[in-house]
Amino acid sequence: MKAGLALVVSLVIAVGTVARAQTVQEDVPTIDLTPMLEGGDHPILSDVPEEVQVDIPHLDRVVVDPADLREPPEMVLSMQAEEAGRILRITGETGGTKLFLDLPDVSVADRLFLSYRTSVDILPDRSQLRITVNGTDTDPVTPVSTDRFQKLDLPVELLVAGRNEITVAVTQAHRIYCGPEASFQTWSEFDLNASGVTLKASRFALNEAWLRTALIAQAASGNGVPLRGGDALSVTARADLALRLSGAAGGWLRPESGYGPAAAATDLMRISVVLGGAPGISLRRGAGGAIVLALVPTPEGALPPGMDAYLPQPVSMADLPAVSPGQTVTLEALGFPDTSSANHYSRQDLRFRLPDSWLILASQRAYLTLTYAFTANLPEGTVLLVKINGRALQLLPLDKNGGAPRPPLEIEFPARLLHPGANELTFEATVPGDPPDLPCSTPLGPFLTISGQTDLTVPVSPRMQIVGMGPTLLAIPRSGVGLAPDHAGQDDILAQLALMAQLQPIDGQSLDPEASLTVVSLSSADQVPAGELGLNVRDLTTILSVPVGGAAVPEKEVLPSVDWGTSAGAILSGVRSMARPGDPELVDWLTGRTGEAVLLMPDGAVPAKLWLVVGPGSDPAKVARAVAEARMDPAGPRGQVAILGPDGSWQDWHSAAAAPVLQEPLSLMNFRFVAGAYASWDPLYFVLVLFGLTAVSVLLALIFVVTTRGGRKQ
Amino acid sequence: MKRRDALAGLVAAPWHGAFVTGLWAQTAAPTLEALLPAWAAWKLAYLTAEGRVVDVLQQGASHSESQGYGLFLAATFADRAAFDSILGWTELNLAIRPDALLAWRWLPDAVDQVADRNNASDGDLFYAWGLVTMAAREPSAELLTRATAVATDLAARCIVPHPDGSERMLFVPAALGFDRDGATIVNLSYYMPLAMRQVAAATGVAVLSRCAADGEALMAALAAEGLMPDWIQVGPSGTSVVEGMSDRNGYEALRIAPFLVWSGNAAHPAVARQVGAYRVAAVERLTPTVMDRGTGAVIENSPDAGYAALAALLDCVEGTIPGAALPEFTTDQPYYPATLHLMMLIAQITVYPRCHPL
Repeated sequence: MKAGLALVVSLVIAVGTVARAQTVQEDVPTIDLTPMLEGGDHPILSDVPEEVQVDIPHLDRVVVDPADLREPPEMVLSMQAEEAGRILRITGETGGTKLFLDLPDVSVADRLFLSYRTSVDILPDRSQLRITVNGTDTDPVTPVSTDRFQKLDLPVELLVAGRNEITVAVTQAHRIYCGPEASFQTWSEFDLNASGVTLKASRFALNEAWLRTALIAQAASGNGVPLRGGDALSVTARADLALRLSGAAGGWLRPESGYGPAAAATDLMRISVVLGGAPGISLRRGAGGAIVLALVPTPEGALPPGMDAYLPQPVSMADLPAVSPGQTVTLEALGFPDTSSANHYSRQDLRFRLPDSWLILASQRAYLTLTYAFTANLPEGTVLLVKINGRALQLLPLDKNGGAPRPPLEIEFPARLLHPGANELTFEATVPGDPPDLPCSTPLGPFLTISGQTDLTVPVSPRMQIVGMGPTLLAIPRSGVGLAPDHAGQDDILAQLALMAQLQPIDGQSLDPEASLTVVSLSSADQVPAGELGLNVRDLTTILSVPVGGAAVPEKEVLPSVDWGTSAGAILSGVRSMARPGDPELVDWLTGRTGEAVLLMPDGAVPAKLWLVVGPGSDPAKVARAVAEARMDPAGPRGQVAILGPDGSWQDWHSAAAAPVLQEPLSLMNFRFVAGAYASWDPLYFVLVLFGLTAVSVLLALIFVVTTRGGRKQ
Repeated sequence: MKRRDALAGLVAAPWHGAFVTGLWAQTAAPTLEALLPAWAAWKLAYLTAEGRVVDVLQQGASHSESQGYGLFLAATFADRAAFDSILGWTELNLAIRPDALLAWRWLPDAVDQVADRNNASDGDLFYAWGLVTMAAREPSAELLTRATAVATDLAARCIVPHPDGSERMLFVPAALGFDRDGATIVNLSYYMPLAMRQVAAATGVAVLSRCAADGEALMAALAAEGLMPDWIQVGPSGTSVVEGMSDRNGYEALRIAPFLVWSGNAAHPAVARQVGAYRVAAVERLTPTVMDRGTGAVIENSPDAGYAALAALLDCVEGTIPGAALPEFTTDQPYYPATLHLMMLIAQITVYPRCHPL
């Protein structure tokens, strides 16, 4: 209590009338105001002591006794990375990443730091972090193993105005073991939200450059960009705003009231719709020092003119490299140059895109001509595994004949392992420890190189498609993301805004103005048309009504039960499942499956209309990001129903009844491929057709023979 | 004004209108519905299940101020359960004086938990305001009678004649202990003009309203000299510093201008003084909490959002540009700034919608 205010005048006074001694009852009191209502002398004044102590009421408001004025808290302008996520992990004995930091004015930076932690399994003495700032090496750092992130100070004077590039290269050794397992257990993580520069809030100048900087950092934080007063904007204006935001920083709008309770994280910037005044835009200083893009909308709720100066229209994003069927293409041409591996476990992926109308279900072959080299004397059991879309194509031993150029190896594989749309080629190398139960004696170093001259040849196919969500997802314009007619709660709107922000156009992919994605939360799931799928609210509730993070996939594929001894129907069903390969009936496939969102195409006859049902408690931004990334994901939704798991992966259901649809005239040239596709899609159906044609042919032949023989008798 | 009319006026007040007319739908200007999450957080942080509003910085005490503030907030948010619990605890533990006023402090760890039976007039005032506010919402003779008893005794014991012999009156901080040799010690932050007028109108204790006007006049006179002081002594020949008590613009006085603004008196010179001092002392994310009354020099500052809310609302009200740098409500601060924070958000929504948070 401050001295000046600590004066407590203890007065001992005689109280003429006395009060009731304080009574504390144990039970929750009932309020009896009767004594107060009776007036006159207070009825409880009889047993109070004659003298009581009286203080001058005073309350001390000071949290601590401040010897000096406090310094204002600092704000952190965090780093960005090309990879998704705010915690970056580098696994294996060596690795690296590249980080960015945009800084309009370098003089405002007080401290530059990187927040990291490492696995408890790494051996510090043989591990090192090497960091460069704008190309200048900083002192190597011996990491300290802790379970908490720790801040590593970097020379702030190396920063420049504009974009700064910070590279991180790690060398890390397992303290006990050596080998692929040990490689998995050696990792370093970098918390980007806690890495960057500290600066005083007041140093965020109110100009477009700082707005953009703060916007990028805010969007990257994963917390979204707050939008206050968004109700005053029309739906079109909100969509436009979401679109512009994604273009500026890939961020998404997070509507909020502005009244709290406040989230733990401090906002660097936000957008506020200001009521009153002429339509216009200004930059203001909000609470906590945040830069506020203040918008005064038009009376109709449209965005004010001049938005381009602050939030320009978005540009499209690069598509996956395209592979043209029938043409041999090098991996280098697909963006995969010579690539070396240096860890006991290493993996390199290459994603590429095939045309949506490319479809091979039969036995045509594709070819990968692998050009590679590896060092001599690798431990026994060293292998290279080549995969396509997660399916192994070839296992190559690397423990013999190393150290010399290898002739190109032609790997022939079934083209049906490839998908229309996104595909993934993977090279996975594992090097056993030598010995495995001791720390690696020396760093492995680069031991395998996959040449960029490795080439891939995919056979041509007639233009065919099986109905599915893949092409529609690519073709949905932002304006096609909508809400159900009888929507909609805050969750629906959040998901819609997030999707609008995330569905950045992709280079070279044309949009279909008729394509739509309707977003509903589970509480509005009755809006989803049953369509041919027959999914109802109960089904969706079963899938989505699980705690977030608790989604499940059946341990094994659930197939229609086949009891050969019980009924002819069961036998027929079993035959049918063998005769028409693919996923089981939807009701069976759904058994035991749960997730955070369901993406579906209710009616295969209307492939342009998709629905997204977001589960309760799901993060709309996470769901939106998963949907947007599915357009580039080889394991993304392709069928008619897909369930999003908590890890961002999709479980995808294809209707076995969905037939390939030929999109070009049937001709002698393509007949064999088309017939092969149909035969592969439904062998029983194909056999029955052939049987029918044969029967007709036999019948015609018999008629001809009988008719002809009868003529000769006459 | 008849009591019935006064109660009708309370119901028609903007914050009540939001509830009574059911304007819960989303509109451009938010209603008090927007504050319900903040109110829930406030209760969780500072209100016990028994109805005790805990001020941790005062040894975990509850006092008539915290109970009065809490009762008013519960009534404002039409939270009958919270209202009843606060009322019940207060009646049981603090309504132990021979009059209708409340003992000012209850200490949880003391042997005699209410060692001092003196009252604190601001706590009594807010307590009465809470009662009439709820009585306006849910007509109750009991509540109104209790409020009338508090107002009557407040007038009788805490409103005193001005020492200069004029007809003006002073609102003293407590029934006892504030007379000094013919002068009277006053804490101007105990005046809450809106509360005094609404309680006066609802209970018929009109002297409260007149005292509010006199207090505003006293504040205006003091504003000519500088910022509002925490404590001031009013004697027959004018005002003077109270020996041994703060005459700084500190944690007490920082409520004065916001209460004036909340009462609709934004043009009061004390408001302009306070805003001017805040603007000169502006430091991002820190709010002056103690300033020199004459120079405005900052003596203490605080990162607590509630104090920033005071300054932000005043700044907006004093200006003409829509939007204010009002922080979101947070319980990451002690009871006192948190409660003032919530009050400022109520004032913004109900009186100054153009000052919505940026």
